[in-house]
Amino acid sequence: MRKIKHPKFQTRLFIGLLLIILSFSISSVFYYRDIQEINKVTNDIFEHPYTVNKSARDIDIYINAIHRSMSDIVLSENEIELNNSINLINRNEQLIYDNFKIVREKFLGDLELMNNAFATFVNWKPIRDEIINLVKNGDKNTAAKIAKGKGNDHILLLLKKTGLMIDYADEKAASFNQNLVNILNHAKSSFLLFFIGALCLGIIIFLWIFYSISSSINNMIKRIKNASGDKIKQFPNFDGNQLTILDYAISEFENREKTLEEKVNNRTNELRKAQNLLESSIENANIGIVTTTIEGKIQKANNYFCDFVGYSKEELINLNYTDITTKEDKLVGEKFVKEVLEGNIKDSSLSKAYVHKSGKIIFGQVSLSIIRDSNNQPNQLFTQIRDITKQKKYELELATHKNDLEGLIEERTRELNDKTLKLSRSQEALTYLLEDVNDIRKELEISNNKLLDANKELEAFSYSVSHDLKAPLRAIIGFSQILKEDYAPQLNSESNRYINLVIDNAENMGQLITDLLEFSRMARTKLDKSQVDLLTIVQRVKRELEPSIQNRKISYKIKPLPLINADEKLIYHVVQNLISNAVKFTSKVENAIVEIGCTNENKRNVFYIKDNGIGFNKKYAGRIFDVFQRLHTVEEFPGTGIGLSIVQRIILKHGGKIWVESEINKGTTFFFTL
Amino acid sequence: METKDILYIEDNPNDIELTLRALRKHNVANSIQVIKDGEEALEYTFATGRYVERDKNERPKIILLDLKLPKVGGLEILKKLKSEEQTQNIPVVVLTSSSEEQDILESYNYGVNSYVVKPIKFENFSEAVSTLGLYWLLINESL
Repeated sequence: MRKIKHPKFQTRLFIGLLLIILSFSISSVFYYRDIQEINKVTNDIFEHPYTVNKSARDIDIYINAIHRSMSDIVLSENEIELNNSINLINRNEQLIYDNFKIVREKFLGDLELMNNAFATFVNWKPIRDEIINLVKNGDKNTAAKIAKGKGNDHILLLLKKTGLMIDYADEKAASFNQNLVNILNHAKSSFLLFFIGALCLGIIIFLWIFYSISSSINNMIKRIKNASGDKIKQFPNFDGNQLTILDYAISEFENREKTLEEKVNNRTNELRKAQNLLESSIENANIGIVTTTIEGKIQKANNYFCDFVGYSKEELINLNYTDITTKEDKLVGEKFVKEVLEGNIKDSSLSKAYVHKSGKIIFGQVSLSIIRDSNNQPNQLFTQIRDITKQKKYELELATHKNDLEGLIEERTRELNDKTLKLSRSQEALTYLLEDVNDIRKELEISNNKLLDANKELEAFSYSVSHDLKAPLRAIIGFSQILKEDYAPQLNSESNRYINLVIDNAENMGQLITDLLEFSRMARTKLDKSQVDLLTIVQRVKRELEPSIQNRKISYKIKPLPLINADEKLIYHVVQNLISNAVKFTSKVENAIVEIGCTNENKRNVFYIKDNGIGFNKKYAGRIFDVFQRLHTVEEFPGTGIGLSIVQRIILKHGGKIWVESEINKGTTFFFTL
Repeated sequence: METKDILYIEDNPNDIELTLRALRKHNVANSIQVIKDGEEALEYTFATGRYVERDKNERPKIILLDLKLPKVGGLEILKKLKSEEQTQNIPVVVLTSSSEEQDILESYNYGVNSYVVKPIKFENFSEAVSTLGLYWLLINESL
C-alpha cells in the first residue's frame, strides 16, 4: 500500500501558529514605524510652525510698538518723555532681536526670506538714531518730517517682510498638517492590509491543517475498509463521523487481532505437535539422519546415526563430518557435497566409509539434500545414512571370490581350448550322431504321449480302485466280524483263529490299497508352497502319536528348526512318517530317544530324524525307499512298505534329497533337504 | 405310503447289510428306507414315478448317500436335493469308500452336511455309521 508522508500533526499546528505570529509581528513593525513617523511629524507641527509663527507674530507686534514709540518721540514735550520713549524703543528692539534668533534657529523654509526681513530690521536703526538726534537737538519739525516719510516707509517695509515670513510659516504648517493626514491614512490602510493578510493566512493555514488531518483520517478509513476485505458491507456509516468510524474500526481490529492471536496460538500448537512428531520420527527413524552446516559441522543427529558411528549426540555436535570420515573418503565426500551444491548431479546418493568411535571402518549409503534459507541460498545439509557395513563386507567377500573365480575361469578356459580342439574333431562324428538323436526324439515324443495317456488311465484306475476294491474288503471283514460275534461259541478255537487271520489279512490289504492310492495321488497333486514352521508340525505329530504309545517311554530331543518354504500338508506327511517310523523301530529298545534337528552343510539346511532303534544293514540303505520294500517281517514291525516311498516322492517333488544312515542295533538317521 | 425316518441310498448289498446291522446294534430303531439306484432315489424323495402315492410333505429326517450308484450318481442326487426348496433342509450324509479329494470338495460345494469315508475295519465302520445317523437324527428331531 502507498504510504503518504505527512509532517507530524503537532508540527503542522506549530508552523501555522508561528506563521500567524510572524505575520502579526511584521504588520506591527510596519505599524510601529508609521506611529514613529506620526510622532515626529506631530513634533514638527507643534515645534516649528508654532514657534516660528509665534516669534514672527511677536516681531510684528514689537515693530508696531516701535512705530507708535517713534510718534511719541516726535511729539515728546520734555526730556523725560523723550527718554522714556527711547527706552521703550530699545526694549522692543531687543525683543525683536531675540525673536529673530528663535526664528533663525527653527525656521525650516527659505532662510533668504528671514535674512531679508532681519536685514531690513538692522537698516532701521540709523533712521531711528537720526530721528532721535534731531529731536534732542530740538529740530522737531525735521524729525517729524523724517519720521513721517522715510521712517514710516521703512517700518511698513519691515512689516511687509515679516508678513511674508508669517505667510510662509503658515503655509508650512498647513503642509505639515496635510502630511499628518496622509501618514495617518497610510498607517490605517497598511494596518488594515496586514490585518486582512494575517487573517487570510490564518484561514489558509487552518484550512490546510483541517484538510490534511481530515484527508489522512479518510485515507485511514479507506485503508481500514480495504484491509477489512469482505467485511466492508458490514461496516457501519455512523453518519460520516470519521472518529466514530475510526473508533469502531480500531475495536473491530482489536477483536480481529484477538481472534487472529487465538488462531495463531492454535496453529502454533498444531505446528508444535507436527514438529514433535517429525522430530520423534527422525529420532527413531530406521535410518541415520544428520543435519550439518554447509561446511559440514554436525548440528543434529538421530539415534540410528549415533549407534552407527558410536558417538553420543553431545560428542557429535562438536565434530565435523570429515572427522568421522576415513582419510581416503574425505576428498570424495567433499567433492560429492560440492557437486550436490552446484546441482551437477541428480542422484545425490553415495556410498562412503566412516570411522567408528572405536576406530573400526564402517560403511554408509549416504543420500544428501540441501535445505535452503528464505533467499534460496544453501543453508544446511540434510543427510540420510543407511548402515551398509554388512553389505559392503559381503561385497568384499564376493569380490575375493570373484578373483578366485576369474583365476579358475582362466584355467578352465585353457582346458576348454584344448577340449574345443578335440571337440572340433569330434564334431564331425557328432553330426552323424545328431541325425540319430532326431530319430530318437521323435520316438520320445510318441512315448511321452503314450505316457500322458497312461497317466490318465492310472487316474481313472486309482479312482475305481478306491471305490471298487475297498467294498469287497469291507464285506469280507464285516461278515467275518459278524461271524465272530454271533457264532464264536459254536466254533472251535482253530476256526476262530482262521476267522481272525481272514480279518487281519483283509485289513492289511485295505491299508495297502489306501497307501497305494496315497502314493499314486502324490504324483498328481501340485505343490502348494508357503512359509511353514517345522517345529509346530513336529509338536503336532508328537501329540498325535501319544495315544498309540501310552505304555512306552520315549524321550524326544527337539533342536531349533528354521522356517521352511514348502507344502505344509505334504511336509506334515513326511514328518509324520519319519517320526512314527522312529517310534516304531525303537519299540524294542528300553530308553528310546528320538532326535529331530537341522544342520547346515554347504549353506543348505539338512534336516534329520534320528533314533536309537534296531537299525539295519547299510547295504540296504539305497533300497529302503523302493515301493513295497521291507527290511523286517510284519510280525516284527507292522507296515506296508509304501510309507518311505511316499516320503521320497514328496521330497523329490520339493527339489530336495533324502538319504539314510543306519547301523544294526545302534539306530537309524534319516536326512533330507528341501 | 408311509415315509421312513432314514433314507439310505446304496447299491452294494454287503454294505447295506453291514450298515443296517451297525445301526440296529447301536439302537437306531428308526424306520429305514433303502433304495438301490439313483433314479429311484430321486423318485422317492420328490414323490414321483414309482413313489407318486407318497405324501411329498412327509420328508425323511436324514439321507445316507453313497456316491457310486447305478443310473444317477450320488453327487448328482446331492446336487438335486440341495437345490430344491422342499428337500434342501434334509441333512445329507455322504457315505463312501472314496477318499478322493475331488469327491470331497464337490460334495461340500453342493452343500453336504457330512462326508464319511467308509473305514475298512468293521468296528470303525459300524461306529461311524451309527454315530452319524444318531447325530443327525438328534439334530433334526430338535429342529
